[in-house]
Amino acid sequence: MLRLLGALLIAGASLAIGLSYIAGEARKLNDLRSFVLLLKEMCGELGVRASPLPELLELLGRRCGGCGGSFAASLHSRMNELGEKEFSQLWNECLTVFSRYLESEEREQLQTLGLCLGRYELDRQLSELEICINFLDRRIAGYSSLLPEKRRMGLGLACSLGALLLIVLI
Amino acid sequence: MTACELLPAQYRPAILEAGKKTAEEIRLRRAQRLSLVIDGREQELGGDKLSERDLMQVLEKATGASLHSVAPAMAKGYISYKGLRIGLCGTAAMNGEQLLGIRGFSSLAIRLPKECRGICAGFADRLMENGFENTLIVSPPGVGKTTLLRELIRVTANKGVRVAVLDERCELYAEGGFDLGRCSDVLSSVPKELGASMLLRGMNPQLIAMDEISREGDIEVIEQIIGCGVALLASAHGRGREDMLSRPMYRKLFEMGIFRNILTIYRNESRRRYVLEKL
Repeated sequence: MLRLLGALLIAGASLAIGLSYIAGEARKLNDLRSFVLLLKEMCGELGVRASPLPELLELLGRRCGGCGGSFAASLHSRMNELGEKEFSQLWNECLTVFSRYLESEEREQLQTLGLCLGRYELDRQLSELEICINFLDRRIAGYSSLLPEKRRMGLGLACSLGALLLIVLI
Repeated sequence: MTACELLPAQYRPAILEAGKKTAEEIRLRRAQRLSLVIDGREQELGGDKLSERDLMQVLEKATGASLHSVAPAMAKGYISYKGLRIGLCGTAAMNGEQLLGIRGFSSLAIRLPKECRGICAGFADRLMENGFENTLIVSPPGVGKTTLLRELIRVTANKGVRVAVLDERCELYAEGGFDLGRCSDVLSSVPKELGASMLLRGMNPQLIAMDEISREGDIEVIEQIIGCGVALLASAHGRGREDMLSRPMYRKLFEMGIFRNILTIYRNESRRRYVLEKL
């Protein structure tokens, strides 16, 4: 009986690993979409109004949902630390919190953007924003096309592993 | 001291100490130590040499990390932060003849505004013998035109004259940092051309005060003010009456008979001498 229970637990754990992998992939995609939405809104507001960043971040924190919106709100709440810390440093610290599911290349691209925002003339900031948006859009397209396949593969591997363990243990 | 907020923490004690010695400016230069201008002379402070990053940090604090939003002010050579004027040097990014911004900052000059009560006690009444007579304050840069103008506004406004202050650079009122008297109305951050019309239409002033007339366009503004029967108190860079008369733009103003008084400031070390000439 105990053997059967142990085997079921192991099979369940395998399934959970598979599901968690799939959830992580989906979360990454959602977070990327949220960041892209944030950057597009930022691009629009900067292009039209040339808003100061504190005002812009406050607006985007309210307007954008998901981790992009939370990132903007968090960054806005820390703008009073300017003078003690550079804007790019605050940007990176907030990014570390809200980009856990992103790949290092995506995070690096966002970090590069943080080095330019608010520091250079508007045209250059807009062009950096566009570069970043295009890069993240490409990544989203890639992940989106692979997600169903990854979902099947994750579930398949988890089920196979669970079944294998069950066979071996029972 | 507002300027302290702008500077990296390591420099604040030195600046606070210097505040007691009536510093006029804080100068930050890339690869040099922080220095202060006291009585017209620059004194280097101790500590590490400044990097471009330090300068950038000051600007990020002053602009909320939004240099793009102060580009129009940058085109004039300075930005404002809570009544402080921060002069900028670096490499300009141009689009044809339009300045888009400045990169690679190499120098910052933070002007520290002051309030010196009582400096016009000796001559303020003479300016108001027959109602306020149009007066031009003249001195070289950094000698105290704005400080004197601010004090004259305060004294005049406290005597019941409605003074409309056209504070284009946010230096006179400093966002409420200075008392400009009980009958003063302040319009800040507006170009003179627009601001003068707004004040004349909306505030029914008896006197309009403005800092630093320096452009041809300012003459039209002055004509508009005088044409409406409103008195004028203004300041300009110069070394005195003769110097002003030798420059075509100001000569035109004097030939038009607009100003009745020239008030020249002379500096000797830390002391100022005020000379009032009736025209």
